[in-house]
Amino acid sequence: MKNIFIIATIFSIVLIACKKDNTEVECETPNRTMEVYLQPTLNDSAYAINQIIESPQGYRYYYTDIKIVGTNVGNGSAQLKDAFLYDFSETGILLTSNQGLKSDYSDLKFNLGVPDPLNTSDPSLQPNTSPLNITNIGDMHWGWNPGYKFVTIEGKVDTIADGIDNFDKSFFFHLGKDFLFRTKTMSVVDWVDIDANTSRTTLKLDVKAILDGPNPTDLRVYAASHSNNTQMFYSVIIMDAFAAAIKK
Amino acid sequence: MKYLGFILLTALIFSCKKGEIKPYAIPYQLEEPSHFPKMVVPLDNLLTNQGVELGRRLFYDKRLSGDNSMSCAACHAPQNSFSDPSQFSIGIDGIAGTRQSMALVNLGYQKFFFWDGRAKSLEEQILEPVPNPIEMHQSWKDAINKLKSDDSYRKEFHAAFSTDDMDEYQVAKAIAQFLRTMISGSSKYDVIYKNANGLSLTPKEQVLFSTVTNEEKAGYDLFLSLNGGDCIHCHSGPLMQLNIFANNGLDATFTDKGKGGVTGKLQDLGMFKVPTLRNIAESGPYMHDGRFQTLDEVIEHYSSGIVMSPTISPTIEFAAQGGVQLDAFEKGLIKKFLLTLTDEEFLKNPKFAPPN
Repeated sequence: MKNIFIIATIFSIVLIACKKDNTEVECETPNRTMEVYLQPTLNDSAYAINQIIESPQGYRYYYTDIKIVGTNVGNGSAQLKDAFLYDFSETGILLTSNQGLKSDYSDLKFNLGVPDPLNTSDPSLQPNTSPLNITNIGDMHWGWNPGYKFVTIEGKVDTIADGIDNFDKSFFFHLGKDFLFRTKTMSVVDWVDIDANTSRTTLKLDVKAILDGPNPTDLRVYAASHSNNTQMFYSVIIMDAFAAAIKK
Repeated sequence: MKYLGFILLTALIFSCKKGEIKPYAIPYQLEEPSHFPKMVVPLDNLLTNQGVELGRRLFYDKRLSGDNSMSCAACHAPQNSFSDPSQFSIGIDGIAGTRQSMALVNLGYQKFFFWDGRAKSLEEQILEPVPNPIEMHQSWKDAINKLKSDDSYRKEFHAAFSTDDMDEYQVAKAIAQFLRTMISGSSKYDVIYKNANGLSLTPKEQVLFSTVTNEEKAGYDLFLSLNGGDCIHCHSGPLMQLNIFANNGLDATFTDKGKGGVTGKLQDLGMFKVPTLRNIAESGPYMHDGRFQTLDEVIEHYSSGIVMSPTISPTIEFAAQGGVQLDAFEKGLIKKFLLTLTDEEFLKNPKFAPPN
């Protein structure tokens, strides 16, 4: 009889321990999955990788990839996600998602880039679940340059205006280092309820505005940047244009 | 009756922890280099001493092939940096594959497997070669029946996975456990890397660093230089590779679609997994199709042999002029540096050798 009592007691303790964990998870879990999408667009329509863009400067080009390493997605006080890796060609248009309260994020703020000193810390030491960990970051960390690439845009340009698809030249802009760190803030973001548990906001990235905006970059002349000092002036122009091209 | 409480409690504890290490297995203490990221090990296949040892035995067991002539090590031989010195590996029926056998090293840090990246986990990758008709050419059912007929295997599977009814997924898990232990991080390059990044060296590493020559250091600088070797867009960091795909300018058109054959996307045509350069001097021939026999040929390719194509990696900055145009001295320096990636401790580690 005594043994039965002991067993019953142990049983209860174990069951309560399991139950408590579950209950805590339920209590602590915010009520919605908040998804932030970033849709590249061309003339207000969805842009696809390799889709040709006519530059007002008289040549054609297309993007083969657009990537962003960002941090501190939130509203400045509440944080939805500490870091994200956006890779348009590989993983599509999801910028980030996490559990959160919709009321916390009527305004949305995030960094294009990684703030110092985190930017120059050892990426091998980042949690292995973080996109900033070196095994997760892909080619968005410079092993040879300090820190992360904040934004990379890559593609091809047709420099020969003969009516034929030559696309004879590659371009790539790898934008990083502290002087290219930018913060993007958008007020009164539209959240759409996808289902009972999910809300989504879809931001737009006007791909034409990146290189053909008010301060255009002539890809026939400037086709590469590693954010070196000699490339600073047009790296800044492109980074500012990129940040401005992200809209609600 | 007096043991019933203990048994019940034990059963409950283990039933609460889903996918954890089995009660009989001892967790394996993975030794990761200090400058490496922490390996992400799948929760349903945590490393155990029993699992790793079973995996090693399976890796070298020829009974996994249809005619009992070929083990995994046939195409991933320890004496060849766990690769194959042949351009294409030959299966049990004498049929050659179409891609070079990849060197098995630091696989626990990889995000995708095979040259075309079609496997997303190591376990998934391991399931392929056994039934592949041009490789080991045996159904998993037959392979498992062979293993089941061996009492020692039944005991080892029981010890590793608490099962009396093994299957191919447990075989894959065991081999994956073994492969995850195969970490290379003790080469000259590692101390060069640590020193360059301000990471402290152990006394043993300091001794190794003292043997780094000026030519090797100059080769490293050239390897990194954007106006020199420009190698770092694909090969950098502690793993000496990025977890990416690239078209490195081998061909103008593609007989092998690479990643494009998996995704069906035009932009992925001719894109292949960027391999590590670790132990590169020991793991030739090179490229996905093993077209280059020597490091000199590889260096020459990047120097003057780049071919343009629609999907060529934009970061091959000097593609339009055929490559980075190194002179003979510079090529020699790059080669000297590449030799620092040879990790003798890894290559001769008895833990990775065939079991007795």
